[in-house]
Amino acid sequence: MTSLQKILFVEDDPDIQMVAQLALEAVGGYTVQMCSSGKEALAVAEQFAPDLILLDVMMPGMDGPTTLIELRKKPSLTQTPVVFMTARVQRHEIEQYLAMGAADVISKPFDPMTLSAQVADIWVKAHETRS
Amino acid sequence: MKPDPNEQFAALRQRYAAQLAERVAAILSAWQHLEQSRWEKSVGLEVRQLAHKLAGSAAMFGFADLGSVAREIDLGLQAWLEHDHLPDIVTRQRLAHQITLLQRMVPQDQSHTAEAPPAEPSQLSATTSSVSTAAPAEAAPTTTAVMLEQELSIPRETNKLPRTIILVEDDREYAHTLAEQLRLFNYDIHLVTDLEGLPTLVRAINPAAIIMDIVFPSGDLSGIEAIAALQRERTAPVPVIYISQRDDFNARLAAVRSGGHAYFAKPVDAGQLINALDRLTGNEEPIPLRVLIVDDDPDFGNRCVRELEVAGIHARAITDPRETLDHLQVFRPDLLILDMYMPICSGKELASIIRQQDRYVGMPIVFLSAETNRTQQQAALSLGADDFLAKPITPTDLVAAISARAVRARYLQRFLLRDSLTGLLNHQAVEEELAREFARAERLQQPLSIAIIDIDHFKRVNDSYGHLIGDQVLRSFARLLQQRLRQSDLIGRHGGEEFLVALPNTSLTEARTLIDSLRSSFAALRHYGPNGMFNVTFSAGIAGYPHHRSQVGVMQAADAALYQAKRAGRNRVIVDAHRDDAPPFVLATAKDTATTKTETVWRALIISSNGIQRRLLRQSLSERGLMYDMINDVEHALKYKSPTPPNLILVDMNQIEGTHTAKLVQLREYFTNARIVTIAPATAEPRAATTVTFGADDYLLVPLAAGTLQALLNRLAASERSN
Repeated sequence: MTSLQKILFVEDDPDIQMVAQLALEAVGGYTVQMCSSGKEALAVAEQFAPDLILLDVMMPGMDGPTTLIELRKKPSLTQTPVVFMTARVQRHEIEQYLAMGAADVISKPFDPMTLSAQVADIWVKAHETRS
Repeated sequence: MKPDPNEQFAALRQRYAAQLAERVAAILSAWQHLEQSRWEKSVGLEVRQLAHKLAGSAAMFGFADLGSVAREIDLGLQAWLEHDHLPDIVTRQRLAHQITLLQRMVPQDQSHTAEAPPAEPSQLSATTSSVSTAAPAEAAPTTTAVMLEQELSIPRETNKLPRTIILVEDDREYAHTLAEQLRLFNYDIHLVTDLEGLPTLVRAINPAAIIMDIVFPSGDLSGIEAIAALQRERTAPVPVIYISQRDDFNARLAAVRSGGHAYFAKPVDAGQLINALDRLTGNEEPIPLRVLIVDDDPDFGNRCVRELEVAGIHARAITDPRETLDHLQVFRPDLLILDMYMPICSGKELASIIRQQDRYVGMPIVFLSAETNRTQQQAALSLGADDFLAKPITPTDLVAAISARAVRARYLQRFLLRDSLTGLLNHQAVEEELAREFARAERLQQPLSIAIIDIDHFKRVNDSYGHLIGDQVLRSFARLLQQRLRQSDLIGRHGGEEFLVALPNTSLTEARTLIDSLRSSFAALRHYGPNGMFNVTFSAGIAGYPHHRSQVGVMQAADAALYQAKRAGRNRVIVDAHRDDAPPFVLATAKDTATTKTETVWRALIISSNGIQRRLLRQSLSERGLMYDMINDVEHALKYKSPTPPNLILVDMNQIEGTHTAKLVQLREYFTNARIVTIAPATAEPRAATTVTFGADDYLLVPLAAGTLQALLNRLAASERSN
């Protein structure tokens, strides 16, 4: 099993981007690629080849779920764990996201000091279920 | 060296806090637009998007409460925007209330932190001491006091994790009642009625605690079993509170074994449940300790300050011992560090002066000096010093020696100042604090509102349910006040069932809105007595400065208003209508301006392509003998060059409104020293006022009514001076 190194973070709010970058890079030691929209994510994802993708649900333009569907169409990204981030966690929504192939759902706002650990947990679980 | 993520987070947090007022103002303005547009969907979407963004980020920057209110707004609009149910009147009112609440929750002094970080202590002590030696002594203390006040009011919000609670309860009706009660105390409650899917939900929400029913259809202890399974999966256990019909030993044992933190038998007393939740979720915020250092060597003082600040202690250093009493009063340290030898008076003398005042008898004093002579040290201790620390001292030793003492002193102080039943300030303490707030309001020329609150028919509660239940009602009420008011607000139990609340920098109207929302929350709160549930209400009277110019006057007026509220049938809030003949603020400042000699020379630049507007302004400006120039639009203004740059920009609202808001920022950047005033037709006053929230300094309505231009110039000149 390889290790989690590269994370693609898709989020339109620049404040959350800043915190997440800090949380994942400075606290977690990961390499992070920031994208401000689903479109941008689609453009860079294949080249960046992330180990995991964090995807905001509610974004202007292309929303998270649509972005996920589009990402999955790219051959190199069919297996990459995708985690949704959302501020409105309701159970039927979580179920819906998991059903569409998300590895997990993280609630916003997240705690910057524990985000990395949370992501690492999800990554490990995603790999366990696959193997 | 690798930068410390904590520091980086702190920097981000500060930046975010600085922009917070602006974001909330944008929501307010969109909301007003929504109401004006009679609930047009596109505007609703805008409000929702703004609220949604705030909800997503606020808690990460330490504004969890604000974030959860924003989330409620987001959710409140969801039904309408996604399912086309136009909100009914109740929902609209609730939304309006939440929007008001957002405004209140913005830490008010963040603008200070953003523009000017708190003055370095070294500068502070250096300037004030030089003033007091060079100039007549009266000048110094007031300036010091004001500077300190401004610094003091900065730390308000601390970093708190979101206080989201999952409530698992299969009795829907009971669950809703309980959730409603808990929400009154600012907890964000997620209601779940069965155990299925709980682990995923917990992972996704990461709640601050879980409130768990024990008995479910699947088994008599299945609630406990679910929790046990849940905790096994986690590295850090979630705090769990059990609620149950079962009160037997087996159930309690199973609860303890599963890692439950508290256990309540139904019917659950909301007050006790909140206490437990507060404890478990760390909702009782620690207030940093304060330490004052008096040392004639500014370098040493500043080094101490830095070391203590690193340890999370709020510290200040002064070099002139004569200022000690002023700083004690304003900065209110928990502990005092004195240098043994100073030029003006020795540390021993200073300690004696301080100890002569009753209120500082309990204040720990620690001497810090290069003194190695045991006899000298002993002499100092006998004069009322609590400890003696030898210079040089390592940071670790300093912090260790100081913090234990300061914590203990604060703990003891609590007993002297706090009411033992409710933990609020007691009668004497609240009167003293009020005097301080009053002086502060006068000095800073800010309004201060005071509410006297009295529980309705409290004697009946005591008579029918007994004193224990009565006490519980008082405690719940105290808790509600603490939860809903700002840390800078003053809350005291004035005696019996009477409470006093002082709200600094709050107008009477704002105070009424706030106290009235407390009134409805309290009335909705259910208390449990031996014969079932009951509700209690309160009445309140509000009065304030500057409508009354003395503390006694305000108290009497608030008392009279309370009496009126009682007579009018109780369960209501009445604002004092009687006012002293004191002039309101704007006039007071205007009068001050007229008497001062230094009048600002205004050089105006009018940015407008509207011929009539230009003519009207030209006329008024030349009548006042003001210099001015004119230009058609912002683009050209941004290239405007003049040997004497304008200090007053009058800009047509059409050029900076709506999608052109960014131009306001550009103007501000280009004309750094100028005041920017929006010009608008009198019919568009609300819109003109909105531009102020987006960064204009003021607005001017044309055609100009008599005296409005002069009033504007006075306002600008007054704020100029205070800047």
